[in-house]
Amino acid sequence: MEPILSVEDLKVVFHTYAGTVQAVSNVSFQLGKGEVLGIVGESGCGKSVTSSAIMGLIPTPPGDIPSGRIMFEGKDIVKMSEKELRAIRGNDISMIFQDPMTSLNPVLTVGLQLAESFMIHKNMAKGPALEKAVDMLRMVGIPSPEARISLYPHQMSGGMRQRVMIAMALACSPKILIADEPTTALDVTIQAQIMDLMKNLNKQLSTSIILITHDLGVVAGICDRVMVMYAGKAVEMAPLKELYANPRHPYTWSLLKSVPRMDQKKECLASIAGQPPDLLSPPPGCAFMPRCRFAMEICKQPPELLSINENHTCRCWLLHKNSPFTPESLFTEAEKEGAAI
Amino acid sequence: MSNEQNVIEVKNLTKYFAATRSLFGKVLTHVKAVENVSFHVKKGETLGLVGETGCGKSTIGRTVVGLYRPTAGQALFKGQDIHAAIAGPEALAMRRKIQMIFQDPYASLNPRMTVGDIIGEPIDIHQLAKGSERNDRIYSLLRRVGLNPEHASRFPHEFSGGQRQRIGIARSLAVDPEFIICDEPISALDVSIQAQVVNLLQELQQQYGLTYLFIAHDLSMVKHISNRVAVMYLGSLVELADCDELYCNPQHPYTQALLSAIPIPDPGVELTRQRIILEGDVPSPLNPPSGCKFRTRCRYAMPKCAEENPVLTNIGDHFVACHLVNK
Repeated sequence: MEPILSVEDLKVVFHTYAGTVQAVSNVSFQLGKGEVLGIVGESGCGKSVTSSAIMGLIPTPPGDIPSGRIMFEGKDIVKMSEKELRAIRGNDISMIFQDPMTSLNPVLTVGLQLAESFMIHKNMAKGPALEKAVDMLRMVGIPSPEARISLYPHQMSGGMRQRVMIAMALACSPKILIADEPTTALDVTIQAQIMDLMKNLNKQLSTSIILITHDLGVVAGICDRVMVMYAGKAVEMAPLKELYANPRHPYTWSLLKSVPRMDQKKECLASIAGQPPDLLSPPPGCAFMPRCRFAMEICKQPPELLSINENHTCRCWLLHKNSPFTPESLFTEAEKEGAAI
Repeated sequence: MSNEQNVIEVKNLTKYFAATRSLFGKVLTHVKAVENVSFHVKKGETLGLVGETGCGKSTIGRTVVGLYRPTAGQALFKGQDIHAAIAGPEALAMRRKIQMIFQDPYASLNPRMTVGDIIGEPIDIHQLAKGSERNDRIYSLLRRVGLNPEHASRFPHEFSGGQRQRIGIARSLAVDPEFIICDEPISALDVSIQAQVVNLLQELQQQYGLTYLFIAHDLSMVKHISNRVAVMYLGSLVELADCDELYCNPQHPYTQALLSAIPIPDPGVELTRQRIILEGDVPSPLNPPSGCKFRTRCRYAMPKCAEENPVLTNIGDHFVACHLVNK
């Protein structure tokens, strides 16, 4: 599969009064055409910063991208001027934000906000642009769209607003859609509607999607490949089924064990002790080491990203050829012990 | 039907909020947050209360703890009317029995008080201990919820979300309550921290024989922690049953849709699953539909559903409010 977007060794830092925050370090991945890539992690792990960097939305200062490239159609987004970025944003790459309440303009009607993309990127007049806006609203499943384009965001429900956001993002048929926690603010029945819509759009328009979420259930329903992030680094990347069936990084494994499943009964949830590290002064070695039950002496040094097979990479010393244990054996043993993990 | 084992009994509880008032303060329209809800919670069990945003689940919790006065109906603690007790001389005794853990650990702790004072405040108010005994009590509570006694002199902003929620739990335990209302205690926390807090709540329940009303919108977590589960839609209970029974054999069309909408973290299951996708949004509680409130989104809706409000009926330890089931 030919990659449409390729992120190479991306590093994003923020200079604050308290010190320099290493928000994202050494993240590399590629996105294929029509592929759905999931980026999973807890708050503060750098998943949203990664997506903002792809959109060229890192505010500088305080933000800074000291190294790394984001290649899109032969050009490096990191080096682009604001004018070049504007031509891409909303046209080739667009984004759905987490909170549909605050990401729409409250003083403009939704129709006008939608029509704006057509007027800017396609040089349309206002009239035809508004007609296109109606079409877009119809496509995302909003009933009686002709009447809705003259509504203001506050007159719509959360699910409706998120549909408007999706319609806006898809207005210029982008090649890449970045969805940053698109359903976190929504109820489960509405979440199901929105995920269904995104799945269909991916199939019909073969738009590549980067889905950023902390919900492992949502990922399981839509993604082709998953990247797990922890403390600013990609710790594991694998095709969907492989990641859920054979997680190799202790963090991925614990994360999968810590969520209750509706179709199974567990006596006790596996919890991960402690909390994520402060990215102002990240631990020198593996960032997960302080919380890892399998930590070894070598983990005080930063682990390399190792390939398990062609598609599966993982950043853990357990996978090193000199490691005395393998993750498989440790995980099986820990599962046998059961109880509190 | 007063039963010795029931710690909490809620009878026909109704709570309306004034939405608009006339110039002279007369209430013109109501938000019908909770309508005619009845249930009980047995000693030592966890009753899960689930539903979507705005369905009235938090209103029930806040009414039971006494933060709101019900518009109609009553809530009983071991047979005693909670709201009558709170208005009378037994207010302190009643409040001591029922405690609450709040959703947002950032907003529910006073930023100007040290953790020790936050946990000590209920001890002072109820005059449970003084001097060094009071401090020992605070330290042991901190240890019990997995924090250090040294944390007592710190302020809330020095803690992470999960730790703050532990402080909130310690505060609610400070007065030896019998019944704790957990109002979405984990929804503001990260996945790996959620499991820590849920495990802590379960340990505490076993150790002190606590009874919980666990309010949440995360159905997988509710299934994990609850003995019985009640499902709400737009201010009314639509189904109430034992946990496994409800999840394996949901009767109400809303419960069925809700369960099918929950993503399962397993690609094998998830990619082959058939979803019931509900159309549209939840109607406004200002002006709920007549009859069954779910009928506007229900795929089985019949003419009868618009005319008659279905009542919660027992079909063998499984309560459902639906005309399809209650023939």
